[in-house]
Amino acid sequence: MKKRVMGGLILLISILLLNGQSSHAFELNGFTDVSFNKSTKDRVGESRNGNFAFGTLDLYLAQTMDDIDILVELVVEEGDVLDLERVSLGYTFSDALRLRIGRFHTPLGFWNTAYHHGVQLQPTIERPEFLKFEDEGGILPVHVVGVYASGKVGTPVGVLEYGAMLGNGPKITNEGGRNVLDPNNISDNNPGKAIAFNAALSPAAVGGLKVGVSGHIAEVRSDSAVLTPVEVDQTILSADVVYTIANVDIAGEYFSIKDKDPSTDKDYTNSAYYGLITYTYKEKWIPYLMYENKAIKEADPYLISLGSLDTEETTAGLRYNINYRSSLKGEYRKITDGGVEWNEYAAQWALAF
Amino acid sequence: MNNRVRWGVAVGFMVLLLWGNAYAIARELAIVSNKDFPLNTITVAKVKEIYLGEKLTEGSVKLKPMEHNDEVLKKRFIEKVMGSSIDGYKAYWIKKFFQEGIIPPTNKASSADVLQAVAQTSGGIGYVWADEVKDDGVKVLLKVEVGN
Repeated sequence: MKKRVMGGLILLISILLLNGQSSHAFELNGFTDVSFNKSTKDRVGESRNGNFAFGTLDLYLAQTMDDIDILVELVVEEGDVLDLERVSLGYTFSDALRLRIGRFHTPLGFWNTAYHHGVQLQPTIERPEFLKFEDEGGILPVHVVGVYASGKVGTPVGVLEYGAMLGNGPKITNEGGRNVLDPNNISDNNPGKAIAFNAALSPAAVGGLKVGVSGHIAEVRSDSAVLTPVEVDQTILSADVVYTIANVDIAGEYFSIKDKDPSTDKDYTNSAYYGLITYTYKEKWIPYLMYENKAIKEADPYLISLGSLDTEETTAGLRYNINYRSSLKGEYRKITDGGVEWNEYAAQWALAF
Repeated sequence: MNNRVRWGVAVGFMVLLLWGNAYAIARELAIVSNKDFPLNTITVAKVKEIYLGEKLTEGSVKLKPMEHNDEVLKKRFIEKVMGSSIDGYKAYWIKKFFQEGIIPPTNKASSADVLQAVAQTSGGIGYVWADEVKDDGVKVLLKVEVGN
């Protein structure tokens, strides 16, 4: 794995060195973070005094060459895990039509398209639990490999943004002894393609408001690494609201995840949502409060396979912007997962470079 | 020196002071574009959309906004035209670039560089002090009073 990390870094450095010989300038940008976590779940054992952890080293290149948009995001996680998180080629025909092909964030809801791996950009230390990345135990297909057409038009009632995606459906696989979702990066293990749509309106009558809906339909099958095979037809629908008034930002999303087991013809409809409110004082101090909830059907084979349980989490925190590139965050979390309750305390220093 | 001369000197001095003061207050910034830009004028709202990466095309022309490295001019542009703080604008572009892969405005070292690049680049758009625009092969789309 370390060889893969080194290989990836050498590739990036090569691109940058070649840069000097090219008329197109690639600029390397990135994010990194260091955090400290302490949980009351770990009253005994090695973690009882908490853990320091460096988060991700997120390296990011984007450039437009002869009207082709190129984007590459390479992430080193946990010290030695290298992930090509995003790579896409794009072409902008007009503001009303932009086409991208490659691997990108699934156009599903608000958070998943607004916040990526660089935690400096997101208001909280962690993503909402149900929106976590696939390899962190997330239950939603937040990455996809496919083609995405999107655009934006002005209408009499406001600005309308829209998009439609066709891609590989996700699969469930086993990594390190646990089942996780996988975006099917190089081939699809089911005959049906995943489709997704999103639309959002920023009404002219209410400045700062954006209301969106999105959906994702896919067949999800497990691969041979999973002991108990899973096959579901999945429909995810979501609605989101973002509202900025003065220094207050409010965001909320609701997801309905319907899994149909074709072998029994049974449906399981699960729900997940969060609400987040932040207040920005002098662009520096940002207290925040987030509540999230996930309610699942215990017999749903998809969520059984991923080991997901009913979850409720309240997060209260304070962010301090050291400057426009760097921030400190401290937060308290009260978590209930599958009936087990505990508290967490966390601090993070995040940086963009 | 007789009274008439004294009065003449005083009035001349006052005129100079007023002219200098007016110049100081009324210095303008010009939004300039390549001659292929489909419109002859532009609104501040549209300039904002272009420099925030929200508007990428005008008609069939792909827009290529350019930034000025001169700190005073850049500060005036960001504060008075974009309605943002410098840090807020920079933070916005870090987010926009990372989230959507939209390339921020490219930096140019001087007004001469901005004017030359805008004149030579299809879809080029930039800003300079209005009194720096001569016959540079660019269109002046808008002038905005931004103080001195």
